[in-house]
Amino acid sequence: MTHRVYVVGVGMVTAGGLNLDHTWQSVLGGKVCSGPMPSDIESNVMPIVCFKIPGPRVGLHEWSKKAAGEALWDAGELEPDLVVVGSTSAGFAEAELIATDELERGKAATRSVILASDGIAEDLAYQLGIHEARAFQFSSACSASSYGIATAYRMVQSGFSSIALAGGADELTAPVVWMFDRARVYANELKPFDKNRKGVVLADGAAFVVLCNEVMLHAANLRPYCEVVGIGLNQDASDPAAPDWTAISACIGQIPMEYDFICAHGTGTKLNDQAEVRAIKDRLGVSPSYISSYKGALGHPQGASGAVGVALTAQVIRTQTIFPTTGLEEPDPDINLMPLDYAFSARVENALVLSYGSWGSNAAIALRRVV
Amino acid sequence: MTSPAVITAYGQAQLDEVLEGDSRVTYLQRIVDLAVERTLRGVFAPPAHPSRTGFTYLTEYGENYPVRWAEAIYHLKPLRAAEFGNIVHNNAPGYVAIKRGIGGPQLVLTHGDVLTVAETILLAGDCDLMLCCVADTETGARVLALQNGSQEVVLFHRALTISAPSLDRFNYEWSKVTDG
Repeated sequence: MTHRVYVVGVGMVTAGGLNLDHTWQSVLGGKVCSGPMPSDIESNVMPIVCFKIPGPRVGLHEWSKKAAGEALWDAGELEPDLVVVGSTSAGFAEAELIATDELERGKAATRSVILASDGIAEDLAYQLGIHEARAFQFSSACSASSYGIATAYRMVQSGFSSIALAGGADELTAPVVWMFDRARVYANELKPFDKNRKGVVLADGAAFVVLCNEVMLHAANLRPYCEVVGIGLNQDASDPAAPDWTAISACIGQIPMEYDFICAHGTGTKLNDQAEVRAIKDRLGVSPSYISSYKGALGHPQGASGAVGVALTAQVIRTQTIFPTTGLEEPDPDINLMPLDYAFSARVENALVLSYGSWGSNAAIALRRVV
Repeated sequence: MTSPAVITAYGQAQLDEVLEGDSRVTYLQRIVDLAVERTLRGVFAPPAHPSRTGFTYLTEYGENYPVRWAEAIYHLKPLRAAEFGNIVHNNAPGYVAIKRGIGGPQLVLTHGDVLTVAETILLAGDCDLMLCCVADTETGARVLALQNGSQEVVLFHRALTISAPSLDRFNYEWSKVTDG
């Protein structure tokens, strides 16, 4: 039997705020939530701007716990039997500390330093007291949490799980900022789809959704944000870094639907924005729907990108309000697309969330309004 | 009705088999690719279209890239721009996908059960053939070396790959699966 899958809880912690409501207000208001690089990594990297979560740098586990806790509270304290987390930088901060420590102690080599991807999913289940839950952690660069949510969707749909906590969390770490800078795609401001966009600005971020099947939905008498109605997952299989618009188009095409709103990956790099828009137009037509990117407001939360997109898009559907593309001032004529630069009310029945990661990892998640 | 997922082939590889090779390709990438090649050779099933061939991959340690970064920062060791992408855990399956044109869903885990994920994706009809791979360093030796303050730690890489097509006419002998 195939189950229907609903989003019944949303929680997030971002540079825009420590919960969904604060983040939503920041995104709606077009607030650029960037600031200086955290002191613990600023001395090791050239870029000086980032999007960091307000308050003390308590780390991935605490931010995940806060966002997941909000999502579970929002879902009426349902107890998940599945916890899925997407995270790319998990373990980087710890490994960086060990490596730095070894080097400062004068060791010539650091080969004994290990990079264990931190077990956020398992720890989250433990911390939240849901010991019986199965835990999975995904790490496919910037599409990690989309793959996590997509897998959780399939698992609830198939009956493997009836309630899933799924999302992603990532943090600013010196190695990743340094790598983006060396690749010459790190900018001082993030301007998705803008003619003068210069690249990405990285961010902290954690976002989770609670998914459940129709049985749990009715039993708990919950009001869903929306229904998850399809996923598209594929590989470019062409280049480690440059996105391939044909593969992105094929990924979108795995879900045969039309959309009123698209939450674009929109990282503000020349190549990404160009490939993304070309793929959307190729698959959905010249003027397919309203398209926004939240990254000008919240930055690029790396592996948590898809989860933040799904969480915000669930809110778009619930409130029937479309958020603007903060940072967009002069639309790129080469892209020939007019993304939104202000928030407004609109009828949103179907929406699509897109994300892509290094090594050509593409993901699309389709959401539908529940009437 | 969706066919049950069954396992039809497996292959494995380890570090000493891939010591020679293109220096631009990491050891982990070479090992995973060799294991995939051996697996695909043994698949007793109709070939799936590359766009319908998926990949589930589990690695806990990946390429250990913060170390490379630290060396570059503190010892000014060069780090090529081409190595940028290797920081992420999906670099080895990504490399294999590019080399072999595998365009189906690629699900990279750092914790969890690849077979369960593979079965879920197969049964949902998202692909017809799924490569399931586990590849990592021999963590026990490295942790021990770390505890003893050793700077010379041999990297033990090992990969195990199996394939699982969603066809019910193939039966797999579980006794064939070993961890190497």
